[in-house]
Amino acid sequence: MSTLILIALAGVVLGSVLYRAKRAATGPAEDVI
Amino acid sequence: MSDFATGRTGWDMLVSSKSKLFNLAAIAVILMCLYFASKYMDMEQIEALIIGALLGWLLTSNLMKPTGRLIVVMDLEQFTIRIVFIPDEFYSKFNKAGNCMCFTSAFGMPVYLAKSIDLENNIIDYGWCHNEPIEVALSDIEFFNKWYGKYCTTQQENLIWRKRVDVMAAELAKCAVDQTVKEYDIALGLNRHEDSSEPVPPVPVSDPIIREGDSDGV
Repeated sequence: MSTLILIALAGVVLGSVLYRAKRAATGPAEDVI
Repeated sequence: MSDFATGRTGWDMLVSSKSKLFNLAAIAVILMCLYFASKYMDMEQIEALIIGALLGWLLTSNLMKPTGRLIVVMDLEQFTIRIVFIPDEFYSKFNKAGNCMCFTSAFGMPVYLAKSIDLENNIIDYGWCHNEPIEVALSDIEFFNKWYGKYCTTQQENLIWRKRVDVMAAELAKCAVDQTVKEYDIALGLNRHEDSSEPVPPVPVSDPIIREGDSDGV
């Protein structure tokens, strides 16, 4: 069970890192529509 | 704009948006992670990794999304509209020109109307709603007097033209009534208009408001 939680936390870190990388890649401003 | 005229391919639409492109890249990275993880994990652990990654993406995108403002760029020649989100920390770095008109959305986000925006050079052109900049319009007494005089003149002209329509309508009605009364007189043999054989034409009024006794505070 603890392994699963650790893997899930790793997934959370992975998702947040990807989102922050997306924000950095799209630049300070982005088109909404 | 010429890209729109020649038609857009799927690839063109994909690469035109960095956000879409990076979403695909993120999915590719997650799939690669899952592929390598599948060699060392069982199905239950892979599910935990997928759920955790989705949770991390959603939490980060909702909790860590920066506050900012929207710039609505309207191109009246091409009939296109563009809405750009700029985080607050970057908005101050933009060079701004023109008369800044700020609205707010229903949720309180500042929304600006702009004439053009250049994200590569960080320039926002808000355009002008009049010939004078806003600081001159608010602080220069000469500009205020000039504007106030023009405003009063326009108001007087509007009142004159609004009154003139009523006067012209009254004159036309009077002419029609005179003509009808004259026809009745002839038919009944009263001959009150025998000296004037032609109907009385309406007298054109050059400027009815300026006539004496017709002033109503203009």
